[in-house]
Amino acid sequence: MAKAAHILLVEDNRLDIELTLDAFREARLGNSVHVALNGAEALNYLFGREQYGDRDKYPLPDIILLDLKMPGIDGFEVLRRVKAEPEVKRIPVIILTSSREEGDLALSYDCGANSYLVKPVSFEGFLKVVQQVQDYWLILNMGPPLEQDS
Amino acid sequence: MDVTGAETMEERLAALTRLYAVRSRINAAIVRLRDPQELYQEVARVAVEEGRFRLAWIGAVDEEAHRVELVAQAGKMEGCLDGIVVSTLDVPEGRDPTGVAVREGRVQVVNDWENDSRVALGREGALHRGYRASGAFPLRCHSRVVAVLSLYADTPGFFDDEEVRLLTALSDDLSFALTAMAEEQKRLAAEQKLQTIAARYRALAQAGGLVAWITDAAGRVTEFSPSWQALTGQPPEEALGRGWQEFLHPDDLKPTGQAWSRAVAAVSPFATEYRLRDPGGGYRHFLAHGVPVMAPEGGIREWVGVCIDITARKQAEAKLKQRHEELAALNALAHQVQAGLSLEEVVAAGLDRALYPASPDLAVLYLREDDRLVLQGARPENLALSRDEGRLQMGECLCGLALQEGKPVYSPDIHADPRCTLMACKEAGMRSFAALPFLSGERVLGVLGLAWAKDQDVEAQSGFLETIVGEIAIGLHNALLYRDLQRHSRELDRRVRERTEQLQAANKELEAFAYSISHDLRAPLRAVSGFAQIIARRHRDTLNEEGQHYVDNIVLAAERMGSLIDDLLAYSRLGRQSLKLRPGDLGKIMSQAIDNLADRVAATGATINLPEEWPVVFGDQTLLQQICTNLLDNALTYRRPMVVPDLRVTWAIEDGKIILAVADNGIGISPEYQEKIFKVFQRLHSDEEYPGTGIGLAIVKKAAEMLGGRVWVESALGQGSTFFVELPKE
Repeated sequence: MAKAAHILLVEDNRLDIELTLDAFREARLGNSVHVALNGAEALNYLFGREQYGDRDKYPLPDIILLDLKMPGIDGFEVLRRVKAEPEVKRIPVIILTSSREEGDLALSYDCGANSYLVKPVSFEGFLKVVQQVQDYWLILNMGPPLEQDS
Repeated sequence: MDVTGAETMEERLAALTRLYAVRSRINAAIVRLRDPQELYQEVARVAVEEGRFRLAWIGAVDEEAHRVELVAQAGKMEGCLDGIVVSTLDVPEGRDPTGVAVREGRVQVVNDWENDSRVALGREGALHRGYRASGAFPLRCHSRVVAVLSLYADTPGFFDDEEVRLLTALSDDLSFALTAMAEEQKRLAAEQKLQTIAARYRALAQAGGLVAWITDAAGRVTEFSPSWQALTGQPPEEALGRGWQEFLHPDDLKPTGQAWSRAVAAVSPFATEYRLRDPGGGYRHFLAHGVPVMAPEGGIREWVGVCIDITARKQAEAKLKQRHEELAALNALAHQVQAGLSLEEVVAAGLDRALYPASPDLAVLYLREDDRLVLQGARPENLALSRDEGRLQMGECLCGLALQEGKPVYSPDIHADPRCTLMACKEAGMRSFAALPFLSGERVLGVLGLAWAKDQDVEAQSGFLETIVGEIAIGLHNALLYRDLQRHSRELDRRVRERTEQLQAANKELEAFAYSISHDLRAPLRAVSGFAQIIARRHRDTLNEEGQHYVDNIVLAAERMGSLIDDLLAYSRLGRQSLKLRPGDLGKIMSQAIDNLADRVAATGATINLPEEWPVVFGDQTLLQQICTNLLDNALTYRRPMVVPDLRVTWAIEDGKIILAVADNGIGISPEYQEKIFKVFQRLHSDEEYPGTGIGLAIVKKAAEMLGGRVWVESALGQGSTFFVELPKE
C-alpha cells in the first residue's frame, strides 16, 4: 500500500457529503476522495467522459461508496453499469444508504454490490462506519487488479 | 141243449159285441177327456149303459190311507156302495176281490156269488140286488195300481176267458190313458211353473233397467224384454234376429262378434261391453252377459242373457281416470318446478307438463318484463313465431289481456274472437285458446298460452288448467326470487372485493408513505445530530456553559428522534415484509434474544429463569426473535427502583398452541392500561423515568398477529407483570 487509496463518493445529499468528508478527516485518513453529486456524474467520472477524460487528474477509484436513493440515475443503475463494464467492474462497490429495506438489500447484491452499510444517525456511529470501511476495504482487504490481465 | 147252447152262444156273442162297443166308446172317451175323474165317470156310465152290467164302480187307491175310495159309479146300486170300506191291506175288509186286485195287481173274477167264499161278506146284499158274477180290474198309472174297475153282471159265470181278455185289454187302455194323463198333468204343471219364473224374471229385468234377451243357438235374437224399446226406441219385433245390431255402435260391432264367437266355441258364458244408441241419438254403455242353455239331447238349445246399462259407471270411471291423470300431472309438475331453481328448468317443466294431460296442440310461455310479456319458450319448439308474438304489450291479444286483467282468458274460437289480434295461432290452425296468468299474490309474473286445433270446451277444463298454472307460478316465483338473490349476491361479492382491494391499496400506500417519511426524516436528522456532535466535540471550548448545555440538548433530542424513527421503520416494515414460515426451536430463539440484550442484562444484574425443555414453534424466525427480544427488553426496562430484575420464562401447550409467558418483578400495570400498552407510541411513563419509544410492545402484538397468534398481559400495579404470547405449534 504505497500510495493512499482513492475513493469515489457518490452522494446527492450535501450535508451527508460534508459529514462523510468530515468523518474521513476525523479518522485522519490520507485518502483522496472525489465526490460525484449524482449517478450521471459518477458514471462520467468512471468512464472518463466529458471533463473527466484525464485519468491522471481523475484516476479510477480503489473503492466506490454509493448511495442508492438519488434523483435521475439512482444507485442501482450506477451499480449495474459499473458491473457491466470490464474496465471498472472489479472496483469494490460499497452501498452506503439509510435504507434497511430487505428489497434494497437483495437488489443491491443482485446487481453486484460488494458490501452494504446502513448510515447510522449519530455522528459517532457514522465515524465508526467510516473507520471500519477504511480498515477493511482499504487496508485489510486485498483489492482486485484493476487492469485486465491480458 | 143245442138250442140252449145256441141261445147261450147267441147271448155270449151279444155280450162280446157289447164289450167291444164299450171298449170303443171308452177309447173315444180316452181321446176326448183329459181328466181321470171324468174318464172314470164315463167308464162307469158306458159299462152300465153299453155293456149292460148291473153295476160298475171305480175305486181310487189312497196309498196313505191304505184304502180304496169310491170315485165313480153307475148302475143298480140300491145303496150297496154306501159306506163301502175296502182296504188295500190283507185284513177282512181287504179280502174282497177289489182289495186283492189292488194288492196283487191281478184281475179278480167271481163267477159264482152264491157259493164263492171270497165274497161271503157281501153275498147276501149282492144276491139280493141280482149280482151273480163280478170282476175287479186293476187300473195302472206307470205300472202302479191306482184304481180298480169293478163290474157286476146278473149272470153267473159271465166273466169267461174271452170276456176277461177283452176287459183286461180295456183296463190296459185305461191304464195307458191314466199314465198319459198323469204325464200331461206333470208337463202342464212344469210349464206353468216355467211361465211363472219367466214372468218373474221379465218383471225383474224391466224394473232394473235391464234388457233381457233370448237367442237361438245361432245367436239370432228370439225375444227381447220390453225394456229394449224403452232404451232404444226400436220395437221389439224389429229387433229380433239381427235387427238390434242397427243400434250397436259401429266401432263395437266387430269386438262384440268376436266375443260371441269365443263364447260359442267354448260353450261358456258370453260377456262384453258395447254402446247402444239411445232414442236421442247418443250412445249409452252396456254390459252384455249371456249363458248358454243346453238341450236335453246335448248341444246349445238357446242363449239367455241381459244387457245392463253401465253408462253412469263408465262416466264415473272416465272422470276418475281423468282426475287421476290430472293429479299425477300436477304432482309431477310440482316436483319438477320445485326441484329446479333455474328459471329455464321451471319454464321447460311448465311447458312440458301443460301439454299433458291438457294435451294442447300449442303452448307458449311468457314472462313479464315491466309492462310487457317476453316469450321464454314454446311447444312445439319449432313453432314459427314472429317478433310480434315474441313480445306482447299489455292488453295485446289474448295473452296480453290475461296480463292486463290478471285473470284467465278463454276463447272457444279465436277466429271469431275480436280479442285475438295476432295471427300466429290462427295460421298454425288453432281454434280454441286459453291464456292463463301466473299469479304471485296480485302480481302477474307471466302468462301461459295453450291452444287446441279442435273445438275445446276450454272453460270446462279451467279448474285443472288454473291449478297447473298455479303450480308453475310457485316455481316461477321461487326461480325469480332465486335469480334476484343470485344477482344481489354477485353484486355484493363484487363490491366487497372492490372495497377490499381499495382498502388494501390504501393501506399499502399508507405504509409506504409512513416508511418513506420516516426514511426521509433520517437524512436531515443525521445532519442535525452529526453537526451537533461535531460542535460538541470540536468546538466545545468556544461555547459558554449555556451554549454547551444547548448543544448537548440537541444531541440528546436527535438521538431520541433517531430511535423513534428506527422503531417506527421497524414497525412499518413488519407489515410489508414477506413471512418465511418454518419450524424452529423456541429455546434457541430465546437464547439469541438474551444474547442481543447481554449488555443490558449485565448492566441491571437481572436473573432470567428458563425452562429446561423447549417446544418447536412454527413461524417467521425474525419475527419470533423480535417478539422475544422486545418482551425481555420490556421486562428489563420497567423494573422497580432498587430492585434487581428477576425474570421467569415459561411455556405451555393449550388447544394445540404454544403459550409463551415472560413474568417479571417490575412495576406492574393497572388494569385500565393493560390494553393501551400494545398500541403504537402509547406510553405510561416519561422518557426520563423509563426511556423508550412506545413501539416495542406494539411490535410484539403485530408480529404475534402476523403469525396467527395473540398477546395479552396479566398484571397488577406494583406486583410485576406476566406477558403471554400465543404462538403456532409446529
